[in-house]
Amino acid sequence: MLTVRTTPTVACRPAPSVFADLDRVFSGMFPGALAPWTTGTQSVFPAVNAWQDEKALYVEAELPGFKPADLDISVEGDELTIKGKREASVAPAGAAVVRRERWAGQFERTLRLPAPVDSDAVSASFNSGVLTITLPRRPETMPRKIRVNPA
Amino acid sequence: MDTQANTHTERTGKRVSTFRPGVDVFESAEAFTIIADIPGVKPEQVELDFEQNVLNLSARVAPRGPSHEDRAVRLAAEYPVGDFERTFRFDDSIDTQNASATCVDGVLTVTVPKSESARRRRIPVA
Repeated sequence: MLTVRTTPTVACRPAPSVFADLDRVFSGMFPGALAPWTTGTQSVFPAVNAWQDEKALYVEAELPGFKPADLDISVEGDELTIKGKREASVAPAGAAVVRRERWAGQFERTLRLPAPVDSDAVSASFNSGVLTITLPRRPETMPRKIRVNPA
Repeated sequence: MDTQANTHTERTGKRVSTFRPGVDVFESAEAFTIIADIPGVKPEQVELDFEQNVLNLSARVAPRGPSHEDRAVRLAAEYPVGDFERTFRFDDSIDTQNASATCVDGVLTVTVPKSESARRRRIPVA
């Protein structure tokens, strides 16, 4: 289980209509690295898939070989920040490098969340190199069913 | 060592996208070591098949993410999820009987020893 750090929030800004990306620190930390699903140079790391349902927002990222201890997940207001690092693989004794395609280095990615979340209840799991962050929505923002009473 | 991509595979009668994992490859006098990123793959979902000096790696990825009955709304779709496939061709004759592999946290490590004859061809100069 990962530790999720939460920071008390005071900022309150209107929720953007899209899942906005606030990448701040990313400058050639993965030089020449190509994600298996892209044909060009990948500009942000990690790529994320995200979705929401009535209860929570979910953010998933592929981080193979990362150690949970080297991942730092924090929620501050409507921003989710994922930080992490992965060391380059070490050649076995006496071995030469034939090919090096896997990323090594550190990253920081911040995502603006489209709905307010209960930062105290955020949880994360890490299975087979896939990170999944669950961000429960605040009860007051969950969809509400309005029953129409018969006249 | 040569590598080639398999971008598609034939399964259940229709074409399914597969993905080419990024790899690090090392070579020593005794063995090749291949390290591949295959996130979402459990050890039992990895298949390694040798055909002479060609190694076929295929890894099945269980579907994940919202299911249809979840009534979930997509917020970001930056990468597709699918199986991994990649083929490696070795120049040296290899000892496939003694190849071994581990898969931890979505990282596969394959060690392929060189055959006795391939090892003997190399004469170390002190």
